[in-house]
Amino acid sequence: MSRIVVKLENVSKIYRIRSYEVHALKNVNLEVRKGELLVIMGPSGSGKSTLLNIIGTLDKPTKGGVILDGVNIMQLSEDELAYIRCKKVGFVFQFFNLINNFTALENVMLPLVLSGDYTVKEAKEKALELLRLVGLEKFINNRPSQMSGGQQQRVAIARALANDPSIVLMDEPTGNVDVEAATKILSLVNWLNKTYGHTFLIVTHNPDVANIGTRVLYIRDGMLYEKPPKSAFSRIKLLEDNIEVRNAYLRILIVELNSLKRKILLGKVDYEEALDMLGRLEKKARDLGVSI
Amino acid sequence: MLTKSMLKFAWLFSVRDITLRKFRSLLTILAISIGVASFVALRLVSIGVHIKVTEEVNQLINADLIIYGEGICDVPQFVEQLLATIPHIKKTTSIVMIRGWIESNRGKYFANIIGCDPKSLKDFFNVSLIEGRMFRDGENNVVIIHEDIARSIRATLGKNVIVKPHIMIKGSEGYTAEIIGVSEASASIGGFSFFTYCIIPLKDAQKLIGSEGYVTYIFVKVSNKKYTNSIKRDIKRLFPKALITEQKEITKIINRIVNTITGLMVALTLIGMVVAFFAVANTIMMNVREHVRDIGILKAIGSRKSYILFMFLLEAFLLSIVGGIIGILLGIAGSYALRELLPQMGISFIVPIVLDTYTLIIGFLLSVSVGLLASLYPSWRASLISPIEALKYE
Repeated sequence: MSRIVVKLENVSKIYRIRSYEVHALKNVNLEVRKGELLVIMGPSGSGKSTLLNIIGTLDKPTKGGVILDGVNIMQLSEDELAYIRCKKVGFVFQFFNLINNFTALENVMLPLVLSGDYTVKEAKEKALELLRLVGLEKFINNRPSQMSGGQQQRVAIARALANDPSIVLMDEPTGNVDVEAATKILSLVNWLNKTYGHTFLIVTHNPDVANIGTRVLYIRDGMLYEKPPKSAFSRIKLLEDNIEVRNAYLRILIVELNSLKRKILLGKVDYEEALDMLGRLEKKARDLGVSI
Repeated sequence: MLTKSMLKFAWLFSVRDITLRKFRSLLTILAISIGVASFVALRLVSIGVHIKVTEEVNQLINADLIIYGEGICDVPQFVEQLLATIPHIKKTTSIVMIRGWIESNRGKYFANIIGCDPKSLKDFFNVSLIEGRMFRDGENNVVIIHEDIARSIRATLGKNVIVKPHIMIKGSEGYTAEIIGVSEASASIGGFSFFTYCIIPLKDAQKLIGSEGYVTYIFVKVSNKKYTNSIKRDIKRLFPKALITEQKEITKIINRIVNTITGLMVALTLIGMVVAFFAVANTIMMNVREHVRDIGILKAIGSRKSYILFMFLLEAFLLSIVGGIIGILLGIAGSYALRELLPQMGISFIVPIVLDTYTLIIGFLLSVSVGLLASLYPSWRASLISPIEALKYE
């Protein structure tokens, strides 16, 4: 068995938004091995981006441990984490996230430059080859804004591969491109995995992506499953009665009633009109179980 | 640690930022350069004024001591003879100096009217004539006028003009005199006044204001400067009411006044630098805001906080360098323009513009330090942006 690249041990993530607590991840255990193409499927809000951010060391779990390529990232300083991200992790985002001040070539050079291991010349040579690898050698001097979404995403893949990371993390890589571009991107990822043994972890809700995975996991409500959970809609429970909504509606009725009263007093509506409006308000109130 | 390639990329990022947002960069550079320019221009002019004043006053050092009274013209002329009894006095001369006007049929001009002997003209004043001659002993109804006056009232050699004392001085009848000489504008008649002057014979001047036998000043030259103090004491003993001043005190006083005024003006220009400070701070804040996503990307692909801080500081640094250089050039041009404006404010001399390196360096350092200081906070804030938040930022 190949070595373990990523290991999550009982990882939980709780976000506190004012008085609320959101449990984005609940006791997640995960091992990703070298050469895997792991696809994690899940709808939005299921915690898949949080999972990716934690593996990518952009975020730290509230509880649990993260071991990336044998290094426990929990005790590392911010600068050490930056180094890990630079050397061991490649990111590909849904919205490409290339830097518009730089050309395609420069965007791919950037991680090489940030690693401090390459001169500008060496970085340029390597970046050129990487762009050739993703089939964009003709666009090296284009700015991101001068490229299609699919092309930008391939530049992003080239950038993610630049420092030969232990793992490439992809967040909805086909989420923002057309079908043709998505096909190209997925074929590229598949090929990079099969031929070069690059390790990928892709989170998506696109079932097509699952087809290229060597392993597929499912995430719902911050928990990982081996098999797809029964209903994708199980999270949504329709509320039967909501006293808050009712009260708010009642208050709106009172405002309308007061407005009507004013109009009657000022003689702005005639008798019949007023009766008609009052009747309508009364009906609405009755629907809410209140009499006026 | 920054490598060479990191430096290059930070440079690329900043330069493209500046060139991609030309208008904003231009406005920021302008704000900096105007601040620097006003500082440089005013300082250069004030240095020029300082040099000129010292130079002018020093020409009067011909007189080591000046004796004067409390009024306009109340020093008895016989004092001069009595002074001869005090040892170590080399030369003395009596001077009348009043304010007044010179009139021709083409106009009139404000001037200091100086009455003195032909001999003291040579010994105590540095007057060089462009045309004409000095007056001789016993000559009267003649005048030597300043070049500026001549030009202004279009008087030429040989023409008659009327010399009139100021209305506040008794006997404002006026005195008709023939122009026998025109003096060079830069010629100094001692630091008494920076206005224009005309010179008439002493006797005529006394007659003009009806105070024969009295003078405004007695100038004294000593044979050796080390006796200055003892001579001062001796004069004081002879004439307890006499007021005595040394030339170097005048230089000091005038320079103090000039320095106060110019110092105030230079201090005012610092307001320009404050404006520049806010302009740079604003630009970098806008920049940071526009690049929030880029900051997130940079962090995600492994950039350290310090590198992001460096990137934004570099941009401010570049803006302030360009602003500083343009500001210095504008400031030099501005100092010449200011010099042209000064005569309209009643200062008749031409201020020499010396490109004082110290001022130029201060101007440059000012712009760079203002730029860096102003961008420090926004850049630091940029470096603290969380990558997750930044990547969500639209």
